[in-house]
Amino acid sequence: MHFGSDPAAAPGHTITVTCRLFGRYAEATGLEAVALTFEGPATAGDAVARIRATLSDPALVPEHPLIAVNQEHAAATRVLRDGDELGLLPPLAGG
Amino acid sequence: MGYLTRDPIDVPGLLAQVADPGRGGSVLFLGSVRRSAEDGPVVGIDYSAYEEMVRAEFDRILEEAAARWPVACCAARHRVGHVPTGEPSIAVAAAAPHRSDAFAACRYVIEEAKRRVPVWKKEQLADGSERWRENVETGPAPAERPPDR
Repeated sequence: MHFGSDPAAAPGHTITVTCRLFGRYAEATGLEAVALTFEGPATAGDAVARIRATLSDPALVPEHPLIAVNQEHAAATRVLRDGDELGLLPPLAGG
Repeated sequence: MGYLTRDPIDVPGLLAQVADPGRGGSVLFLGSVRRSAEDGPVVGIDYSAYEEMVRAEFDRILEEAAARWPVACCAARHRVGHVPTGEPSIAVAAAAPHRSDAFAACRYVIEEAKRRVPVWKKEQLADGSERWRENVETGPAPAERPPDR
């Protein structure tokens, strides 16, 4: 398989994504946006785990929150690409 | 398109957005901040949003409605910031040549908006306290669907 032109899949290739937190997650953690860098492939779930690992209380963000990638709902298995914007979304409450 | 507003929702303006001489049936849904026995003395709600995604998600929902009901035209607004009890926080307007399509399209847009549009609310109570609330009457969370739908 050729990985040369795919920064999301290239082993050893560094990617940086921005993780944004909203609502109760932002309030509880005091974080609104965090830049995350990964050496090699990473999924949205990997980014959530990275964020939780930095918190004094990981329970402030659940292990499986709603996730958006580039303003679209996504699963935790979504492979991230360099420059992606990840959103950690508390349970929705519109309307 | 401006789906979010910090001002009271311009309902006549929203209806005008979908109006057309060829669309004889118009439906309007208004969701307002309520006070009820189970909710307690709610005096208002502070709404916050992932604004860029609200735009993207409403675009997708209205495109889906247009594909399902090609003769209908829909529009939506969601208010952010403080909304006092009794005032609308969301409005959906739909117009079509006949009422069945207008009702169906309006229902689709509001139900999908409740499930998918990233908005959060913090209730403000009469004693000055606050609490985050989430929707409980909607369907499965979007994350339970396959990615890249």
